[in-house]
Amino acid sequence: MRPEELRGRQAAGAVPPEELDRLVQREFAVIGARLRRVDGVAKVTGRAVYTDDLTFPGMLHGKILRSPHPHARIVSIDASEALALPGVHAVVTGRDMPVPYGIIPWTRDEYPLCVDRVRYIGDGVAAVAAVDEETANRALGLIRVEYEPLHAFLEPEEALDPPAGAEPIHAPTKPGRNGNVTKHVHLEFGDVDAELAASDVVVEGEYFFEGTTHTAIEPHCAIGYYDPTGKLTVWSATQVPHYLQRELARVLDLDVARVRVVQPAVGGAFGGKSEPFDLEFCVAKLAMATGRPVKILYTREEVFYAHRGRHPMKMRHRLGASADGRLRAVDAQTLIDGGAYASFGLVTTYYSGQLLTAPYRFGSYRFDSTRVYTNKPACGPKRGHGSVQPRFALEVQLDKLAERLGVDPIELRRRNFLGADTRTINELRVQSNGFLMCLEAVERASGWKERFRRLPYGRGLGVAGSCYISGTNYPIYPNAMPQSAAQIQLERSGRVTVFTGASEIGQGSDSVPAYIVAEELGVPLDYVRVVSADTDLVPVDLGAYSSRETLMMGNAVLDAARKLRKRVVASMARVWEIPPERVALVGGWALDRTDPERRVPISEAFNIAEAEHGALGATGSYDTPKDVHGAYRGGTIGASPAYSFTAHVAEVEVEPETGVVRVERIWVAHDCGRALNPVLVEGQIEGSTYMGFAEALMEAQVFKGPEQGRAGLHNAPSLLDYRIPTSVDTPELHALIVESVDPEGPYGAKEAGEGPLHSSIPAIANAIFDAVGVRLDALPFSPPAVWRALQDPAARARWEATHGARRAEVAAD
Amino acid sequence: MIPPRFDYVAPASLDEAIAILHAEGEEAKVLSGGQSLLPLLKLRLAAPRVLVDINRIPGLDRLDEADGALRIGALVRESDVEASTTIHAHYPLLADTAAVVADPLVRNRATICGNIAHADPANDHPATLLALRAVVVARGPAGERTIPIDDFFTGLFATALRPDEIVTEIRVPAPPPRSGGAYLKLERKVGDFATAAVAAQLTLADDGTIARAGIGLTNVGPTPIRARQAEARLTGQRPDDAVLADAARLAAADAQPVADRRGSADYKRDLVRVLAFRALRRAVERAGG
Amino acid sequence: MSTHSIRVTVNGEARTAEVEARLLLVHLVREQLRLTGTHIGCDTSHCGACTVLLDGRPVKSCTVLAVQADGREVVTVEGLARDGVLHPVQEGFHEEHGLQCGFCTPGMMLTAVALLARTPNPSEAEIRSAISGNLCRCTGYVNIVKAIQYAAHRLSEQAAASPPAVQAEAAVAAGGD
Repeated sequence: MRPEELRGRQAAGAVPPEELDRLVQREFAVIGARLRRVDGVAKVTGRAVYTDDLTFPGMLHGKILRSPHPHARIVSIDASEALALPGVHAVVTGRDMPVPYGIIPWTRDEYPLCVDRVRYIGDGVAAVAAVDEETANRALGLIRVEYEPLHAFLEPEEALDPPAGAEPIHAPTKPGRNGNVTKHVHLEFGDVDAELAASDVVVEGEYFFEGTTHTAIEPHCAIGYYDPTGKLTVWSATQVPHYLQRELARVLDLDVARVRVVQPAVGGAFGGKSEPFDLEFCVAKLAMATGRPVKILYTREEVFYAHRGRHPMKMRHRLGASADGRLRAVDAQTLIDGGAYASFGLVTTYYSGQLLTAPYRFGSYRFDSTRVYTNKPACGPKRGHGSVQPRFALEVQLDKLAERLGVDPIELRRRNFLGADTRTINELRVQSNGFLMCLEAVERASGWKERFRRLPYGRGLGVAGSCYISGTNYPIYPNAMPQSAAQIQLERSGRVTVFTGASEIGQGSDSVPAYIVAEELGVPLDYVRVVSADTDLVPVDLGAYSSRETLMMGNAVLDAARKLRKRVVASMARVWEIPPERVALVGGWALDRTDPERRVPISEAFNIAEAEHGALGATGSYDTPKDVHGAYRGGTIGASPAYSFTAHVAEVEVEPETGVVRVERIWVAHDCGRALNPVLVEGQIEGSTYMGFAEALMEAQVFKGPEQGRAGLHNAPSLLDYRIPTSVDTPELHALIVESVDPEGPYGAKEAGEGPLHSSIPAIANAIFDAVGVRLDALPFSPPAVWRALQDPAARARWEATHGARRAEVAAD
Repeated sequence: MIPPRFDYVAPASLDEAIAILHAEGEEAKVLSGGQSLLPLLKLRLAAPRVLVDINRIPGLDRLDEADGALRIGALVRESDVEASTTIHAHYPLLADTAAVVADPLVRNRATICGNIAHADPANDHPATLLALRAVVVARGPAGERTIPIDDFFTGLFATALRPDEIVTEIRVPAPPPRSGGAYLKLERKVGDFATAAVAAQLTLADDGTIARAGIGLTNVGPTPIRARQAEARLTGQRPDDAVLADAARLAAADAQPVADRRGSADYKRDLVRVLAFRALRRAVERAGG
Repeated sequence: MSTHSIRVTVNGEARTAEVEARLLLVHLVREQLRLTGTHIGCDTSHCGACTVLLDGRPVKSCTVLAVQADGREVVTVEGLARDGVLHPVQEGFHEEHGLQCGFCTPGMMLTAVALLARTPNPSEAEIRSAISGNLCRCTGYVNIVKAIQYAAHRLSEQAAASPPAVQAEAAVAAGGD
């Protein structure tokens, strides 16, 4: 087809010609605009397909038998009665898949199903495939398992120092080591003891962060199918299709080229679906055993056992400062309760210290973190992995320091600002840094100067700051390949298809590539289709964890889009006989910037370019900087292409008589680099802040102790007792976007999904102190806990003193 | 999650329903709103052989005043009570209570009669109906009988109902002029059972003293509790803060809380005191005191 | 165990089904009628992901037996759009970014439809109260509230623009009595 035959084939949704003039003047036509999600219509019409919505002819239902013991040896398993039950097609046990796995290649310490030892109540022991759920459940009841109970470790202190004769939870990695320790990290930067000794003020505190879990509304679900050619397909509600594909192949001893993982729509994840789970291996193995598709859907109770949520941490912090408030020393000691398996625990242990060194400059820093195993469901990465807990401790410490020094806590944070284009004390490279703008934004929006320490008894304001990574510079398994890749195909209709391995879990990673392509190639948003997270179709992206998608996938898509843009622009420049710089691709058109009357529909431009260059497709990739971290062991962990920054001010009302804390509103300013779509960024900030609020006041993943009987049993595996806030419980949230364009991000973008959770929690703790004069150093701030703290007769006097001091200061002004 | 197998019948009349209950004995369960029963079935905490659905029986959904009492039929939903102008005007204690039972979706199905027949001490209406001195109307093979609310709750999840009886109605005596009530519940989040809750209902005499007091406590004992000491302390007294505070302390003494996920026993007891004081104050205000 | 023949109007269409007594309404909708926009999130009647309208009232379909819907009218998320045009509530959730993962969205929208049928101009407090039986884990509810406000505005515009007969029909479509 010749170009002239295409004249007038304008894309539906193209910008009207009279608006083009204005559009070509702008820096961006699409980026930064308030746009809708690309998956919105499917989700509001009920047409989005989640894993459990899929069904296949002949599909069987799987169920997993779970351990009733927190720690026991498996003596024998007899599945013969279960197998004899009509309707049962297969039973598998640990011995059918005796290959250890683990998301971190150095700590592969679990099996798809337990082989000879169970390590928590809920650990998987056997799996059944049957014609329906009820038959599968009945079959579970017919499997005879003989256990020999072992000493169960429920408290991390006991695991660290086991009683004589008690078998550790895992075999020691080296003789003489305690098999209950996953990882110990001790790092010191500068001379902490000397700096503490030379400090004018030293603040000490002990903090406890209770475990919490993700509680995505969609329970985990997976379907396996092994086709007659010997190819395995697993559909799964995962946020890491690539890792799942690798682990399935390795554990099941299949050629990875014959394993396909498809991620349907995912109903929330938050880190809770970021490693392989027993159900994925079981549906695969059961499908291989039966030749039929097999589905397993977790019950809500099983989701609580699968867990991999926030680690409980016991933290002892010392903070030394000069009289003017400069931080001379931070000394942190942390005991991390890991649960039964390592999961991401090696990283968690490092993160509990490594990610604390911004946005404030430390004169010296030491952290000593130990993660131990306990006989409870394994902890792992929950939104803000590893750093939410120490951030709580540090930001409360800073509030105590400000109080001691009589300095406004926002001013104290300003004085210690790390700065931009710098290195932290542990040598993380920070480029853009909008933290001061964040502080200013929440200070202004909250009326801080007029209201802090001036509200009546029972009402208070608190501030906190934080930072977070935008992906990690090093992938989970060592390799020299790009962390993210994308492929783009331009079609003659003017449509563009983007293939990306990025994992959409609600955060918008199917929408971001569409915005980037629309910006670079000038097509209307409706003309971009995004194909994602199907390992047969898309290039590799490592998945939705560590807040990496926008930065890494965005850069990969941008790389591919710019290659194609160059070709289209070159062709139009040749046709119009103008320099390429004058060609704009925007709003559904290709046009001459200096003469917008000279234009063709974008489809025509694509056709001209295809005629000249051949088929229009390109790949793009992004890899992280590899030379920007400390040379010490562990220096790579915490190294990220770019860091986001956040500041929170929370306003609370505390009812002293009942201990009820009502968080009235939270102002949260977040430096996301550049907001590619502010609507999505605000959604991430609000959701993240909400989740922090929830952890502060309500959430607790807790277990029965020996005094309650059934020691180690989850105390509340339901949405009744594991409390997540409703619309009525949730405070007013004011998301304020701060932009500090980062040289590493696509258009300067950084993360927004995880950072804004961190400072939510200490801001609330600090606001409670402002309201009623008590420090709550243990989470959550439930009514009985707050009530208990307020039984302290000195609390009211403390409140009077702080508020009196402030009044005196005002009088002196 | 699928419930265990059972038979289902939806009789068209009360007599038919009662006949089935009579024949099945303990094996049968009445299904009205189902908002407690169906979750119990799914979790395999109950396994009746037959469910007798009374939702298709005509005449059980009356919500009106007659013969000096409010009549709440077996099929009146919480959301009906919430929406009723009569109840808002004359029975604010009931309106308060219906508004905090579970969540709005559950309230579209859940019934008041079911709330008491289930006899969960964590349920909200038992305390309220104790404070209001309600009467439970039950029908069985021998016909209808009335059970004073004070005699209705006999233990944990146990009532004076016989297996072949159905609660057909609750009667709440119409409060005299200058009456008011309030229900105050502390819950960990919306949709939760009470950590503790207090129902208070007061009637003032012409001289402004308290002529009659009713106080019920939720989820601080094996059964819903009527705070008799507190009621006695109020009767004949002027409702000033000192008297209300005294009564609130006595209500706390009447509570029998145990430590659980919602708090320690001492916390809950003190909470009863705080909530009782507030509920009494609001009741006085509403009574025009 | 008894089985029952039931007739249910689902999204305006008469459907018949043979159901076991114990079959939950959510399973009828998802598995037999293959309307998978209604989701299952908890097992214990707390999350609200399975919300449908039963005779116009939002209920948790995991806590109603399918046989109880015999002779009644059920509206699921698939029944909200008419002739390819989104219902104002759907439009609101799309325009105001009232969703992220989308899992709670169908239930949330059906609750909103029922609210607006009863209370055309709800306050923010009324909206928050009405949706307090539907849990969302992504949004912090900010944009869900905005989405429902958007829909309220659109519905009142439509009501002002259309004759009474059409309004009545719209009310039925919106799950009104």
